[in-house]
Amino acid sequence: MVRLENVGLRYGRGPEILRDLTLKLEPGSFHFLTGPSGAGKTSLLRLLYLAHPPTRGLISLFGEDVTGAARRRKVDLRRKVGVVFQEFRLLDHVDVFENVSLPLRVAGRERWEYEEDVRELLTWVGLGERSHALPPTLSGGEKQRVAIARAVVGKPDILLADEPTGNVDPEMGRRLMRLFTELNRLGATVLIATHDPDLIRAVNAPALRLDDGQVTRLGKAAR
Amino acid sequence: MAKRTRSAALLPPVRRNDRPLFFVVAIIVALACMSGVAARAAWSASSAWTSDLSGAMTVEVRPRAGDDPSELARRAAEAVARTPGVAAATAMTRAEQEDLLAPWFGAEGLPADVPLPGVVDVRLERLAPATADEIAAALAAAGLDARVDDHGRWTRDLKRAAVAVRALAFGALLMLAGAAVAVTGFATRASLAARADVVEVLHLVGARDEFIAKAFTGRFIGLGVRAGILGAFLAALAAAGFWAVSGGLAPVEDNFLPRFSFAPADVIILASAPLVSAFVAAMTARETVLKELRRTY
Ligand SMILES: Nc1ncnc2c1ncn2[C@@H]1O[C@H](COP(=O)(O)OP(=O)(O)OP(=O)(O)O)[C@@H](O)[C@H]1O
Ligand SMILES: [Mg+2]
Repeated sequence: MVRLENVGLRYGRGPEILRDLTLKLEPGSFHFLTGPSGAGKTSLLRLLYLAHPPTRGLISLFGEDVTGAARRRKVDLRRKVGVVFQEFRLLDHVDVFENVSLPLRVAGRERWEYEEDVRELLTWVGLGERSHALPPTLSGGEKQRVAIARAVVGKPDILLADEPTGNVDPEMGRRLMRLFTELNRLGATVLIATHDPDLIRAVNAPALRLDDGQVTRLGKAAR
Repeated sequence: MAKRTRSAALLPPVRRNDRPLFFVVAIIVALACMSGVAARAAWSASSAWTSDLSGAMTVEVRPRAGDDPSELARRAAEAVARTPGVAAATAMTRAEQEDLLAPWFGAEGLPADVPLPGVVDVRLERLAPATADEIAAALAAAGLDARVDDHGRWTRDLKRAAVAVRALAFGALLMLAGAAVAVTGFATRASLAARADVVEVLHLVGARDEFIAKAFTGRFIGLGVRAGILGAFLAALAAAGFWAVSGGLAPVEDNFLPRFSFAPADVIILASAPLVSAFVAAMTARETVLKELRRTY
């Protein structure tokens, strides 16, 4: 489902952030990604949601090499990947509803097809009353919930989340995690970068530790 | 609360940034319309002149010592009038010739002892005009030493001048189109840079390049139409001003230069300006956005 082989990444002439990284995530698996700040977690996720090419090595999604894929094909692949960005990346000039339905809209779906689903999802993340609010008027936690709703709204085959629960209280954090576990139960491959040990314990899924440009599998027991 | 459109615009409006582009495009459109209208006017003026000139010839009879030029002209007119293809031939009197020469010699006219050749003004049949050679042959047969001027030099010069004006106008249109493309491309890149964060999000959530380009194209179509309307309006004002200054509705006199006037073609030029500028702006914006996006991963 997700495979990296000898992947290296450096920004410009900087040091190698990822070195000879080889990793395989089975279809339908659920993993956490941990590691010290600056270890390259966000960078690794960026490679997986095709924001950036690796400096070297091979990346494949759904058994398909993506580094050499045609531009149009990359768009098709991106549409199967839901992403919660660390810094949310909401569109400030359109409301919560429009932000959440964005992936559906850009994929050419009509509003009547998804309007009800989006409203239901907004209610689930506790933003039912805020669907007409603009992102700059939201709290950090509310923004985070919009970002999560946008990532899962298209029922992606791969879900990548970068610190998705850093700004919400523990109870809301657990509620949001249910969105990911539910999606995973339906078959999605999930990878969540986090520093939060409570979150990892709550889900009881294996963790990958990124350090010094390499990943090590920690397994469920080792913390 | 403001009424919500069914689908909000995905690009934030940045009107302030689009305003200079709007005025530059309007000015370009105004200049393009003016050169179009000027080329049209030059072309119709030159065809009016050439059809005037090519429907007529002038015969000049050289008097021999002791001959009366008016008498020679009268005989020449008779000979020419009998030639097939000639509609009319009129001998000019000395008074008429002096009238024509007045601008050069003043109101007192020529001194009486200055000899003038006999001159015949020839009007040709429209459908089967006589050639200069046929008229010269008729004059020779009548025993007259005459020169026939078919105005060919003038009509050729005029036609060449009209072609040159048209080529100039066409060149100006091309350069203005180039300027429009360059300035729109520049503005599009600025606009794209100002909204880079939004564009990146659209890109990452799975928007195709064409989808993103469309968001820009829509905006530039509106700008092109509005700037085109203003530009065409400015050009129409300028043309009307020129028309008023060059005589306007004053009674028509027999001027050497035909007066500038509006023609149906001008309406077409002015009316198509907003469409053309919208098309150019939209296409340029689209191609620029696609080109910039292809540089991303
Ligand atoms: N666009 C960039 N250009 C240059 N260097 C970058 C860029 N993005 C990240 N880096 C560098 O790459 C390294 C890894 O950054 P990254 O954001 O992937 O870390 P992280 O593990 O996500 O950290 P955190 O836990 O704080 O979010 C850092 O040293 C950072 O300075
Ligand atoms: Mg990070």
